[in-house]
Amino acid sequence: MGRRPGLIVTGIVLLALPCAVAADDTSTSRDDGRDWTTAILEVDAATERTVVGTLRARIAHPHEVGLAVGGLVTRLPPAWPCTVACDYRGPTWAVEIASGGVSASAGWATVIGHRSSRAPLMTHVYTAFGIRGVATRTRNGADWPADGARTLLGVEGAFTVAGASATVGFYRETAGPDRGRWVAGGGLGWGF
Amino acid sequence: MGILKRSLLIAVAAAAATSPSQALETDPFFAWGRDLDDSAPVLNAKMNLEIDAVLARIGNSGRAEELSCDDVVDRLLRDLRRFLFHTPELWLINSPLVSRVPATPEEEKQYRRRYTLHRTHVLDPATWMPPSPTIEVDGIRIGTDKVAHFLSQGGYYRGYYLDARREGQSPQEATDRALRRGLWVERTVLGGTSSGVLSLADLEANEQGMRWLVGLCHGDDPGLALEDGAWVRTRPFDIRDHVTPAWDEAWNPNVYGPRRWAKVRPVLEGYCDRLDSDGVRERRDRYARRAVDSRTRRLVEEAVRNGRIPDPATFGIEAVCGGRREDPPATPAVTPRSPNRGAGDGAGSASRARIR
Repeated sequence: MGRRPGLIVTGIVLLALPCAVAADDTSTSRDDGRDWTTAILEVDAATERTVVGTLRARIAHPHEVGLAVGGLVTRLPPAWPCTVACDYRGPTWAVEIASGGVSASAGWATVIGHRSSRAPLMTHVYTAFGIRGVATRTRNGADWPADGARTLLGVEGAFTVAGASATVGFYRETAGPDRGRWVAGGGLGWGF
Repeated sequence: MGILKRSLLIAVAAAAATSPSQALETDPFFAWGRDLDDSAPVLNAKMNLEIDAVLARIGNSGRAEELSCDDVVDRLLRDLRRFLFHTPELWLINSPLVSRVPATPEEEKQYRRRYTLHRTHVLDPATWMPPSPTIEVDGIRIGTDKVAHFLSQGGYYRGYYLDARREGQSPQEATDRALRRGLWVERTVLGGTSSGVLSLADLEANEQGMRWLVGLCHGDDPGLALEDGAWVRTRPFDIRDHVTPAWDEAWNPNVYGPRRWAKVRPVLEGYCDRLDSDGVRERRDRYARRAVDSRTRRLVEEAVRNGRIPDPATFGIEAVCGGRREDPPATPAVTPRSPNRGAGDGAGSASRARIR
């Protein structure tokens, strides 16, 4: 269990208590006698910090064809398998190696996906939205952009539905032939 | 460069042409022969906790008295619904307190490989989302997607209802309009035309969701009240007031488009040997004894009479298995009692069926 489950459970109980009392909650009166409310608060409301790996493949400008690996830090009940779908929200980071260069990114995302039963890796993303800061170093001689290595710093928004992802980004060239220039980019691919 | 641009254009076109319009599907047959604990008590407890948490947040904001009851329900829906997946459904498919099939990661893999829509290709939107597990609620087997429909589509139906009421229609007229619009959406955008699956069980859950949500603020005994400056429930939520056998797609069969049906029918035939098992027979007899009527059912019957959708009975498990048997029993062990059975004159055989 995490370090703060007691605090979280207490908080939820306190939040729920006034309304539950006001409504004279008899939700278990037709039930099997078990106190399910307490069980839910103990089992499902107590969360632990967890890190799940993420994958992304995409065709994008200015990165060209790339593959990214990263992670997302979130809090989830430890008993949840998440092998069908879970709601992951929290900070993310990724490193992308692409035919047009390499990039590193960090940001925040909300992702619904399922993880592998064998490893802490999100193997499919159903829906996702995220925003991240990106630093990219394009490869010298890459076709797109055409000439020389460049360093780009910018912001990307990412959106995924049913595994298909789209990104839109704006980057400022901080080193390279057109230093100071703004570049609009984006891509399509799979994952998050 | 040219290739990259062309690839991007093709990918954009592909993304625009397809969408996960049909969110989660379910396969109740996969759970036949498996015991499940009744999840109604724990689902009720979860829903009441969620409702109370929303009401507490409204109370803590200090704005409770500024909000109308319908504003409170809007807030409730906003907090419980997410894009395609909804909070109670994510809890249902993960909590160890909920008894469900598939129950383990291994079974989940098996489920994905075998569920009713598995015979398809990767570009089929219906397969882009995971199939929903089956749970039991008040003795009725339902997919967890029904709870999502109850809240999500039920919320949209409530919007249609309130719009109609604002235009001066009576509660009955407004209900009718909301359900007709919902049926149209399910026949076109969400189901029939797009994915080739029209889930009548989803429609039933939608109607019940609308009735619950509307009843929170309207009618003789609203479910919410403003007391001493705070919004409170006047009674606990109880899913058993809403769930009916018509939520079970093994009882209230989906209507399929011809291409989809050609792939689903062989999967259903694989369950014929379980149809006469004691557990399945007992459940279906119990379903038959429970009075099932709804406005949705009557609208579906009307649509069948008008030829807008094929007779759902032709897609039922009894029709599939009865049609396959060379020598069907004179008195079937399980008399077909689908709530939609015998509705109108149908629209021909399932193989020629069209959803219009």
